[in-house]
Amino acid sequence: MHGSFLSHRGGFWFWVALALVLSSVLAYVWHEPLGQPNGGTWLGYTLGTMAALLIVWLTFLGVRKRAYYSRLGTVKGWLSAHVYLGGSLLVLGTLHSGFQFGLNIHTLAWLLMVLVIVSGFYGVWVYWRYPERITRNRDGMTRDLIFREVADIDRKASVIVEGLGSPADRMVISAIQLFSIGGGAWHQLTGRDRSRIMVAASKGSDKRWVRVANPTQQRLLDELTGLLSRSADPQEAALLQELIDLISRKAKLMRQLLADIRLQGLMEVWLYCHIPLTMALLATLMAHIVSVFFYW
Amino acid sequence: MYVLIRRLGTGSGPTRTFKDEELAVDKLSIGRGTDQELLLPGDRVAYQHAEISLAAGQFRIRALASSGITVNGRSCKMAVLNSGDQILIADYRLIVLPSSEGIDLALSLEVLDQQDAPSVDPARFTTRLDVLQNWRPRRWAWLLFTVLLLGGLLLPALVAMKPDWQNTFRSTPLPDDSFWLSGPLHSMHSTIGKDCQACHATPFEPVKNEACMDCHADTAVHVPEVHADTSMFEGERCASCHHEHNGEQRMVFDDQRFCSDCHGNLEQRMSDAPAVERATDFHGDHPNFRLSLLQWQPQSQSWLQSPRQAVDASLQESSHLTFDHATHLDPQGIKSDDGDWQVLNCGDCHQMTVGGVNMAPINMDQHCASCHALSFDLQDPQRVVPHGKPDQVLASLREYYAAQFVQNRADGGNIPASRPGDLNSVTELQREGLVWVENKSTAVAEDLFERRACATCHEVERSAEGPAQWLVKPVRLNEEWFASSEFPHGRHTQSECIDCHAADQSTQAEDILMPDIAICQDCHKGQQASEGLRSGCISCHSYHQFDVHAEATP
Repeated sequence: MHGSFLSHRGGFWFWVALALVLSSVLAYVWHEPLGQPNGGTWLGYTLGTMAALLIVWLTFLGVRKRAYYSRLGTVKGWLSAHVYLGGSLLVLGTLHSGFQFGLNIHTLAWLLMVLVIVSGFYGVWVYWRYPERITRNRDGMTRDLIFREVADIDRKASVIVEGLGSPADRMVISAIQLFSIGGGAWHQLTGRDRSRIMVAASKGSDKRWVRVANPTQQRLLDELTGLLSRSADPQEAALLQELIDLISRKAKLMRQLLADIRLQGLMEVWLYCHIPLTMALLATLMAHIVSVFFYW
Repeated sequence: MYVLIRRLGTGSGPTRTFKDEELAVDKLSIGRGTDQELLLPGDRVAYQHAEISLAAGQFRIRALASSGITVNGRSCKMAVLNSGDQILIADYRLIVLPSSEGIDLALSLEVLDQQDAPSVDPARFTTRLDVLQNWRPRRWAWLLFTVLLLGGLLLPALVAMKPDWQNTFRSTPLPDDSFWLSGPLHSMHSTIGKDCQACHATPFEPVKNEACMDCHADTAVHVPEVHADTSMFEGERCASCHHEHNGEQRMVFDDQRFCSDCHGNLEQRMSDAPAVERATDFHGDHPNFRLSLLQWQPQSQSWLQSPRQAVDASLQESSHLTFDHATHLDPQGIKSDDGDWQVLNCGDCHQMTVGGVNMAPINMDQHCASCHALSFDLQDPQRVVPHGKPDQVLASLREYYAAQFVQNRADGGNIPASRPGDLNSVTELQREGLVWVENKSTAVAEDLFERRACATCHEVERSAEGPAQWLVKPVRLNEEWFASSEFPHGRHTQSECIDCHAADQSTQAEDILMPDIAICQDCHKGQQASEGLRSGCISCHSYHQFDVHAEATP
């Protein structure tokens, strides 16, 4: 469905929003209030009322999209209107402020509104571009399939290292056991691979093995390539070569997986900001409106 | 080529079940795609995974998928197949069987069990891959909502409504109603501090004028309260024009539309004919100046500032002075009483008061006396009468001539000593002296008052009450021609006096030397003008007029 809500009904809501923005800008330019532009002029009140009503209506997308039996327009139509009218709010709200900012509840409401809109714009962008990127990255596979493929490679590799012995066996098996992926939001969103591996400690160390980072199996590949270059036995070399082939494939799958996790995460994370910020905005908006008339 | 596929079933050894299938194909395509000759439905099998072809009597297998194939335990892209070779494709094992009659290639196919080898367990990671699973947006949303509602609305409102809580809250870091402040107060109001209630007395009600008038008690209203049309100002508040909480930006806006709103259509707004003409812009739409003149009221013996009236050439104002500006300003100079020629400038007489708004009053002793000495005796030209009331002048003359009489007789040596006990009788000599002094003084006074010194500048009449009494008409110079506007001389010092006041052309004190509006408009353009000195209404006028003279109906 990506993209389609943007062109819903021939971009009807885009034109509505554009008309709203242009008429507000024209009114603002034409309106020369006594004193300076301010939320308290008649245009300020008009823009403020429109913006507040828009904000309340925009939050009702959350209600409408869960009301599966509602016949009040399609969810796609609502989303299209939500995106375009939400974007127009950026102009309406800013003109309402008359560009008077300060350290107070009023500017906080404006700031939260901007953050909500910006996070929404990011959401539109990821919904528009990321599904295609995710599909391209997965290359016909699913996340589960990639895992099964990795497991298969691991099985094959563990069979091969039986013929190689130390130190290859310990490195390959530890790379499998110390494999790690995902984790907290930060690791998922940055796509960092925290897999590790046990390698022979450098001389002079009191340990024989040390645990080091093995992002996308690169350390294991380096170690195996080193073994291969020093190998004199053709049979052992053949096994090492095969192992390197397998681990290279695993590394490619790992990169695919990390990218998949990252893209999927980015596609979802904006909503986790958009919703709480919206609620914060609603509370601040109430405070803004009440306080303005409390101290009229 | 003919291919036999033997699908191995359950069991093991000779009892293992199988099912044969024969295919006649050019190439044996292998994959999970439904168009493949050998369909291997596993997920890890590609749609087109591999193909087996016959060339030069040899069967070759070629991998088409990136995950490749394994032949006899070796990953490869391509291999020649011989009887007994094992091919692994994902979890499927194909074994090349010895060929039999009528069959080019025979393959057995079995699905392998999962081997018991160490491998990554996907199940271990699924919980770690569902992004932000533990983030609860709803919880965050309600938390933020509550915090902001509490800190942004409820607590400040509580502080605002409970004055006794204010100091407690404001001394803590807890949010209070200062969070609601839309902008800093003007520095003139900084003494109000955080006492919001000083102006915002009642919640949800606009600031009332009384709150302003608490301090600004003597601020005049625009139209007197007795005026019939004060209803025009209903709904207008101090705050309509004075917007607070904009920091140091001026609280008094000079936007002329504050005025032109009403002064552009007064006829429609007022029930009676408006006393002032329409004005919306100083350069484009402003009536000519009208002047308030001084008028002497003989009945009440007082000066009256007249209603403002239109200026025309015939308009004159009498200050009861005789004065010729043109002669005094003659560039050749003017001859003073002692015979010197002096060139005078405006500033020799007209000087600004401290502060530079008005001109200081003209003063006889300071500005006139150096030329217009009030001397009366040619023999003693330094001797002057005081510039004061006629009685004082006469008294001064009598004293002078009495002294002179005595002096003259003493010089002649014929002043007899008075006899003791004869104090109450007037001697002949004294009587003679009294008559002489009186006659001399009256004659000189008559000359001073009616012909020379006083009459030069003043209008003098002989009093009806007695022959030796005169009345000098009181003098006053107008300082309030423009009754409802202000002209700061100090801010116009770059102009010459005669740029505005044509004093060099004036030969009579009655001439009115006030400039025409066109002279001001040379420099002062309208507020919307693109060039020149942009001047709004309050450049000259004040909304809060303290002393508006009754208007003459035009």
